[in-house]
Amino acid sequence: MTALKNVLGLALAAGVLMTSTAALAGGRDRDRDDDRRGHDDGPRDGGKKPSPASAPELAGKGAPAALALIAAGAAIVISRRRRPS
Amino acid sequence: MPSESSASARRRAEPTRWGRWAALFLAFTLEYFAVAGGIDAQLVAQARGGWWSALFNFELLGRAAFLSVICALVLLRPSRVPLQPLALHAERTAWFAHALIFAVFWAMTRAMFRSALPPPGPALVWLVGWGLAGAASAASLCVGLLGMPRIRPAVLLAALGSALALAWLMNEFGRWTQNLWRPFSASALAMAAFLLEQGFTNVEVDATNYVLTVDGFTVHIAGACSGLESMGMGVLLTSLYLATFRRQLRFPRALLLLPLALLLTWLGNGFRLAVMMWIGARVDPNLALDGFHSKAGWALFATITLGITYLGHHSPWFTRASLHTDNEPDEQLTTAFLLPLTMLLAIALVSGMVGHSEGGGYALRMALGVLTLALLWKKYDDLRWREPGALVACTVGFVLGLAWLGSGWPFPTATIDSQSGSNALWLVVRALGFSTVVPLAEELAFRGYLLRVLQNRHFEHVSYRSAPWWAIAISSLVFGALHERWLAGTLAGLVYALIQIRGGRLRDAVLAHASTNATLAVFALALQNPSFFG
Repeated sequence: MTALKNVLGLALAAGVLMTSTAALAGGRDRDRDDDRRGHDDGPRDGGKKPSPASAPELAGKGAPAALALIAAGAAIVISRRRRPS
Repeated sequence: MPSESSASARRRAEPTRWGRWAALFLAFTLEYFAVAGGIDAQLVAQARGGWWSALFNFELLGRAAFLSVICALVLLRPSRVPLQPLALHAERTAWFAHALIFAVFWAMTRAMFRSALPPPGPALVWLVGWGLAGAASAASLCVGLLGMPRIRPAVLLAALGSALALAWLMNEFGRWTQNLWRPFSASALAMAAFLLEQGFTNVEVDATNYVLTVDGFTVHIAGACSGLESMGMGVLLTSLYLATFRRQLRFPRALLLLPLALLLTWLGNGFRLAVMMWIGARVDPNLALDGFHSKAGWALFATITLGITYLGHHSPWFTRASLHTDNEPDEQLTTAFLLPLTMLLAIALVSGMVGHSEGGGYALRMALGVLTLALLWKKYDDLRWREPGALVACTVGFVLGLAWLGSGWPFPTATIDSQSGSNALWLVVRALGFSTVVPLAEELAFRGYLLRVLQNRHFEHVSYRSAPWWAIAISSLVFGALHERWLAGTLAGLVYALIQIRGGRLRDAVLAHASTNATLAVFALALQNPSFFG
């Protein structure tokens, strides 16, 4: 039973890891496909070109700082244990 | 008196293995991207035909192989498989062998994929040799870092087979999730439109092209703006948290944190888009698009992730109480070592979100940094300011500053722009903060905390005088990743770690870092060029 729980737990963790990895990589592939098709090209709405509302900095220089903030904040939060009331 | 070898053996027996596993994950990831980057296997396979066609889906195969290795490492992690650490000379031999094998593998990959013309010789020989070199490279990396697994071959094969099957299954599932981008873009568009309709009358929705217009301000809700990436990362981070603290959390109710993280991220993304549209329509279109839309996304994601962690860790419904009744030193010191950098990063994110990352925003960041350091100052006994050796550390930092300047030649030109607050006063404020608060906060976090916590969870007991190479490498790489010039930043982190180990004092790393930054600041002030602060 313990072995089954372990395998299921690992499968969940590995699955989430891979799903996230594939989603992150695939999303960019999809956006590149959109770019190649000219999905966002050309003016609309009476000559105004829509502004991209995507987040290019997700993989840019803003990302490491934001992830460092999350990691440092999480380390502080989890270092403090809940006391018995 | 214990011999050097027994002391070494004892040090190696300390609970440092999870840090080595972290180094292994990092090394695999870096080597994977080094091999896979800049090649187009599909083009090569199409152009050549024959056996080369087998590599048509190389990108997919490469990703699956990478994921299989990660799965295998998870399945074989140290708590399940006893490992026999190698003797020092054997470990060095394994590392040397790995460096050679990886170089061969990398060169073969380049020879096979860089050009449409096939390399000389039979394709099958190349493909088999390439596969063997890749497998040998992965195996030598594992053995060099972890040692020899004491495991029966049948069990090892079963684990590798399970990992392969798991990787294939989840890769397929990951590919299926690609179908979610458009529905999630549509839902983000609908949610933002719904919220905006509560306050605006002129809201136009082009659901076919994912375009939203409010009072003439128009945006395209692209796939990356659908919130799906944030939801994927949210699930990943929450799962890591649940797995790490599985003994402390109350299951199955703790699993509710996963859908809660997803829901909050999805709702938050719609709210973020609505606020961005409001800013663009009523305040300033440039502010909405230049700073707010991405910074707000990260600020929201950080808030939700940390909020979920806090809830899971401190709510009696989700977690059991700690058996310890007093605050332990590591709890207090973790906050003391990490809070200053956390404060600087958080204020930078928020001030960037409202378009004031420079000028007033920077001054506020430094003021709160000083306040945080002042409040926690009594915790920093480790700094030992009055001990000798300061001059050496400052000299090293100064030379490093000059090297940093030299490596950036020719210097980028930057104009002083009073409109954005880049005036002379701002340069002085920035130079002061850059030379004092920033190095102190960064050294506390990277050399004081990260370098030591990688070696032992109770980092306050870890000496400053020594550190294994992999801990130095990881902490320096993470430090470098936060800099615009990541390689120079990594090398600088390496130097700060070594100067700290040489003197056995955190203060030496702080002084060296401060000297480097002060050297750059002097040039910035003299030439009125803020680009030196990068």
